[in-house]
Amino acid sequence: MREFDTDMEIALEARSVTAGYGQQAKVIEALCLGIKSGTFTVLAGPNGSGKSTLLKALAGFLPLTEGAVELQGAPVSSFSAKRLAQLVGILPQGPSAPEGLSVEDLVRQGRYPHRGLFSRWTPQDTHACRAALDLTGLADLAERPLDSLSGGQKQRAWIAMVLAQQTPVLLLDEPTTFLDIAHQVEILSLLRRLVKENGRTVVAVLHDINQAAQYADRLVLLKGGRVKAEGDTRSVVTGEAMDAVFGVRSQVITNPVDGTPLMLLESDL
Amino acid sequence: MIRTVTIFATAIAVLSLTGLMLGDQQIAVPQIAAAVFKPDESDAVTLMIVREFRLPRIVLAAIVGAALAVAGSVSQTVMRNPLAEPGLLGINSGAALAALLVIVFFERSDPALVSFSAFAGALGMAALIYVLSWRSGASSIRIILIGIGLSSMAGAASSFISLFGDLTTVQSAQTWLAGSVWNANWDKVHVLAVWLLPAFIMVLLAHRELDLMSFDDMSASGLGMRVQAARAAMVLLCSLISAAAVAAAGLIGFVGLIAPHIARRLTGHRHCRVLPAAALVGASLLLGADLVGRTVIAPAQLPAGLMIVLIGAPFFAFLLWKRRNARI
Repeated sequence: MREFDTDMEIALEARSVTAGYGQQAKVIEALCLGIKSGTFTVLAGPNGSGKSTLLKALAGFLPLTEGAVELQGAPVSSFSAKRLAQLVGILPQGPSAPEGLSVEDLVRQGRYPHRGLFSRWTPQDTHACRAALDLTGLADLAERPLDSLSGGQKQRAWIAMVLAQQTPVLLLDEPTTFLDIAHQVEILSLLRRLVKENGRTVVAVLHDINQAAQYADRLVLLKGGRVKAEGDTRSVVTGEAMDAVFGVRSQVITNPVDGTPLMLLESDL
Repeated sequence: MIRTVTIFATAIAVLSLTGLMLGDQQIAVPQIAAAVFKPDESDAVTLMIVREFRLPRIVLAAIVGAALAVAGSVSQTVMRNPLAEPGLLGINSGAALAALLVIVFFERSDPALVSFSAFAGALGMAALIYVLSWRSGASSIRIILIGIGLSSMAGAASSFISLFGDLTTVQSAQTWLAGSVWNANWDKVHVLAVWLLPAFIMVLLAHRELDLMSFDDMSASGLGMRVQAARAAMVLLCSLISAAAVAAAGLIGFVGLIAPHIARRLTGHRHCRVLPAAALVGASLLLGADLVGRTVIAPAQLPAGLMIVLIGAPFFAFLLWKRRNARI
């Protein structure tokens, strides 16, 4: 079932954005990027290349030094905080919740932007939370305290919270970091399903280029706060690009499993 | 939730009634009922004891207890720290210092002026903490550290004044500072109620914002909350509430620390439940402490602020011991 229409070709667009924090005023500089609607886009690049900063700028969290981020053709700064949170959901790196909070209580927080000061909990709110728990396979764990879950389950609970927000656009900062390979795959296929089946637009920061090639539609490579390469994964994952961005020597072959590009590092032994 | 409310509402009723009965002059229940509901049919002495001494004291203790508990819940949530009660943050010591200055240097101790200077001290302290910890946004840990530092400084200044001030005025100030509701009267109750009612309502209306504030800043802003504005508003409300409590009853610690913990253990995390529960718990705690304090070695009276620590500390230790095996 596609919940979100994808008429607008570009969901979210950065127009020559310069942004940073305090003294490091230019973590990303004059950056231009369009996020296509209904696609799974991966941001990759070396540490400190500005991936998280770009994500925060796209979410409208960061005061921009220059440029603008546009959502549905209007600058994100023109939306109220709550309205923006109805349209764009973000999962930060290493989020923290109060001790003893249950999975269900966490997921319910996702409804915050949809509720007014005096409005009561509605059937739509219940439905959104139920759907989020089902999509992430956490329905049986809803009553459990978050602290008692494994790393993968915890990450899924946070994703469920962002899903309960029911935003057409989802931004995730390293959703697979610190998870074992099975849980990584689980999260990645969930993100892919959200794009293919629900028509959402997903942007995630990932470190594994090969996983990006297998699961995502588009790949954006960042270095030094600028976009080095951008496009569908097949065209972006090349030996030259990997050398230019990460400074590693590699060969790219066709993955015999599914025909996606597969990067193999050349060892220096 | 219903069970918690029933238990603590009953506790408040029982403690209030016992409080009305016990004292230098024991009064039986029928006479109390008569004094409260049919004043024309009571004798003047009973009427005086019940209506002018014991009742305002009980009401004041309950309101101050509730205020300390609500202020504690708010500051623990906003600072995301289970130890961050307004006392620790220096808000209370700011109030105490300002009141001490007025009592000792201006030799004025009328309740209205002392209360007002306590308000001014608390708000001034909260503002100072906020300004000093502001660096393109105020983070919780900076607020806590600067609060602790300023709290020690205000404490030192209070000690300095006590050492060099005039002995009689210092003594009267010390009695007030020790944290007691012994000199309660209806005027104090009115002032406190007028200050607290709007603040309580605003805190309750912000229960969802408080729920979100216990998350990290990024998650909270991701859900559409303006974190800095909400935090500043909550710190202001919290200062208002605890200043009102300090002005009415001096420094009473511990209620703001343990009442929110007890409330959370009983009702979970949602503030729409935690806040009312904490208020009831705080009211019961302070009522109980004052009742024990004024009866246990009568005619001498122990201040409620002292009793609450004597009762509260072992109880808190018991709570921690009970959950020694819980996963953090």
